[in-house]
Amino acid sequence: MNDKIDLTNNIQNNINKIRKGLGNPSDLIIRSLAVGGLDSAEAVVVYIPELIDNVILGAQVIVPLTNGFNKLKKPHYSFKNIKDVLVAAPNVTEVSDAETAIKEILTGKTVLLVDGLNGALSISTKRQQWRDINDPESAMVTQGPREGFVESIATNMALIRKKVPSPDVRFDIKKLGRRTQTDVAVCYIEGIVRKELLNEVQKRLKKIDIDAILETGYVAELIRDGKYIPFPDSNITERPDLAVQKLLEGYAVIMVDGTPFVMIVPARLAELLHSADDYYLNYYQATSSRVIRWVALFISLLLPSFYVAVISFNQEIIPDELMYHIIRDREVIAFPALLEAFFMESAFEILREAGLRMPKSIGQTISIVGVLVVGEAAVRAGIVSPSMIVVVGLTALSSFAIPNVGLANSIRLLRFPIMFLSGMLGFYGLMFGFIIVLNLLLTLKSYGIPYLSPFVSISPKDLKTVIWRTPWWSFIYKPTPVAADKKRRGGKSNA
Amino acid sequence: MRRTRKVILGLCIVSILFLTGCWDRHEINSIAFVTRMGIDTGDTQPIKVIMEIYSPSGSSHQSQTSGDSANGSSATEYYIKTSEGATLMEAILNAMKETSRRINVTHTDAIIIGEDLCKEGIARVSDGLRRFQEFNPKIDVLIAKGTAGEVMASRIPSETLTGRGIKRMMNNSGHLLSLIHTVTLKDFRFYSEILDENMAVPAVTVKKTNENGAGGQGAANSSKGILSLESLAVFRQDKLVGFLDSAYSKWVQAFHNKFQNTVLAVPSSTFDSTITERVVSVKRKFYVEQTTDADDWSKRLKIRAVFYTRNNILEIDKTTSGKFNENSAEILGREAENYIKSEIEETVKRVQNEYQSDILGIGKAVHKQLPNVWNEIASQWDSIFPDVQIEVEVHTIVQRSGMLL
Repeated sequence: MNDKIDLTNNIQNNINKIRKGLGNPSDLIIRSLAVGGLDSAEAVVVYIPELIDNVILGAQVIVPLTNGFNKLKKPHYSFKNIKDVLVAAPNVTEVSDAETAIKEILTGKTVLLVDGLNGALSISTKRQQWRDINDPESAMVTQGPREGFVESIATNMALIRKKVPSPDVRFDIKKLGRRTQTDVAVCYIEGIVRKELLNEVQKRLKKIDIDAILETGYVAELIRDGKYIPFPDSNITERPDLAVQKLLEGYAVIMVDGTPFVMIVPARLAELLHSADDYYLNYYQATSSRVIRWVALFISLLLPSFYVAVISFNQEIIPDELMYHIIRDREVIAFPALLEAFFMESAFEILREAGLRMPKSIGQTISIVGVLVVGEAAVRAGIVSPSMIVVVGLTALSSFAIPNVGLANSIRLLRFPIMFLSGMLGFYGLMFGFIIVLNLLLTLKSYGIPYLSPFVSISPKDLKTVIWRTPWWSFIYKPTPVAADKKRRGGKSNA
Repeated sequence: MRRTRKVILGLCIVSILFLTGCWDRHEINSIAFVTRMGIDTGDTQPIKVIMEIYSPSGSSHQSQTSGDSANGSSATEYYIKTSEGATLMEAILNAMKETSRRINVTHTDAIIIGEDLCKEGIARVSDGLRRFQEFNPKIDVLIAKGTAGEVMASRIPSETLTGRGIKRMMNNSGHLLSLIHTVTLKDFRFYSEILDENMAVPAVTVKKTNENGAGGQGAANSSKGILSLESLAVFRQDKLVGFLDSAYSKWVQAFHNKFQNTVLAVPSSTFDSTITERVVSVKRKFYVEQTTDADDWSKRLKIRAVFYTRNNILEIDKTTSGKFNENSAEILGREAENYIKSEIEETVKRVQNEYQSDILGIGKAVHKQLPNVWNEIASQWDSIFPDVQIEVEVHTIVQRSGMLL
């Protein structure tokens, strides 16, 4: 595919070149037609029927070409004239070499070859067959738009444009992936985004040299900071409204063709706990939800470890009544608290994993069985104590209260090492593990912005918008480290 | 270079793990938790320790299957372990020889010390109690009128764990009646080390019940008697000198400004009635003066204790009562004042004459207000205190008469 074969004026040669370049596929259609009547030039359209739209091909290419003999006489034949006069499709480009022509065919275009003319014409007849814009299942909101990104990058760009019809919204599209040639767009709002951020993102994207980009996760992993740190440094979402919220605050959004998930960069820990409807609900409701998510974050990370440390080491801090209950329950349990916690947490992880992959129809049945097996039966069998069930249940619930899936998963993973540490060393181990995690977070920077800001390098303005959801009438500033160019949001109500 | 630095840093971090002495993992169900502890003089050895140890009787299966009722009826979830030793710690360790589980005193609710041991001197056990890190500084300390063993054998009706019950009883007596104030292990350490104040520790007595089953629920328990908190055990330095009756103990709280609440039946001559009043607050102020230049310090010092009280009317005995009007509150106030004054004076008299031990905090007041004088007299304070002049002054406001005038 690498050798460049120029398309000559011999149509048969050209057809053979394309056929050969594609490996003589069975689904390639080469339809011959006569441009300008029977005695005129021989021409062919080459396309893969499953990628193109037959109606468009017929109406915009074949019909005008075959009926066009009155408009264009043979002496005037050239691809420029054919393009200008005959072809009715909106998106037509001239190509000169077979390699490009093949790429065009593979991306759903129709290539027109005319005998006696050098090169070819690539006509966009792409079949627009995407699923409808649906409620995004990975991020539900109680109030807010019920639309999510889809697999088509063009549609996704349109979704953003519809929300912000401003000439400042920019999309820088480049093709990544040697084989897949995937469209990757960096979206930002000119005038709000910080130039350094944009340059950094562009620079990192430029460095990507990989055979395939099939999903946003490829890009996120290839361009991230702190390659060994198990926390996401970009906010991956399928909500256009969240993307637009962030664009307006000076973030950049990276979109990848073929997936409804886009990534918002940079992302700080505090922002991964934001949900799109924080901005739609009342400010005190939103603030309290944010506080609850913080609590859930800590519970999800530390509660099992805390329980293990208390049961095995520091019994003196349990209130008397509770302690007597726990002793009574644990009397028949054979395992130390650490193993007990490990069993239950693993069982839960298995349940969760199974639930994710299961067909929806049997999912519910299995989850009921899971709850029965894990809860009731495990207690009766003397494998775990009832209080452990409470701990695991609360931990599981908390991990689902974290809106960002990537963050929830990293917390879930880190829970286990901390659990082992506290099972061996008590609170000392718990604190040790927690401090290690904190240090990891402190070393992490997301596209130049400290991951733990605004807690480190405290800025009260920033805290106001990141931790509290301040009411709109006092929501004056954009997050300070992110948007540097214009810090004030603009608009009379919040200025 | 960077890599070696990283490795060294990693090693440093890992070595932090081994810096601790926290390796002793003990599962919660392999520990014998002492819920309360009694300390007496021993029969063969100096110290006897009686421990009530929590031991769950019912398995969790039982409570799982038969529901809530199993939890409620678990009456005997403890056993009493007695052991002796030359010292407190030895006695506790001796008990461990006979138990399968490790004895842990972090959840002890109350420590009860027998009268005999207190008379010999509390210093024999106080060091152990304050040095051993497992003892929670918030443990209540009580003195048993009689032996601690008797108290340990008795129950409080409706409480499965008596240690917890004692704690609640102390709270009730303290908050609602101000009969006693709680003395925790922390306070205990404090008092036995200083000169300007002697300690008064709540005392617990066993009230014998005559009839079997009179105690209501626990017929087996009632024969052993039920516990009652009333008086204060008065110490002079580390030795017990006597028990101050509950009629007076509340005024000791007033002297310490720890008074919370009490009920008084005040006789009223004006209205020929008895007025039940709730004293809702007492504020005390000490004024310490040197009056003369006499050599005798007890003559030279004059202590004026001023009490400001606020009373609410709870009940008026109307059998023979006179007429009340809007000025009655004023009159009742004066009467209450006199009544309280006489009570307090009686308390002071008893403390000075009978026990000759400054549990009222007078020494502390002298220490604070005349620090130079205190330096001179500190060592002799115990002999000065019984004769020192204490003048009591009471100001009472009667407010809030309830639903009726």
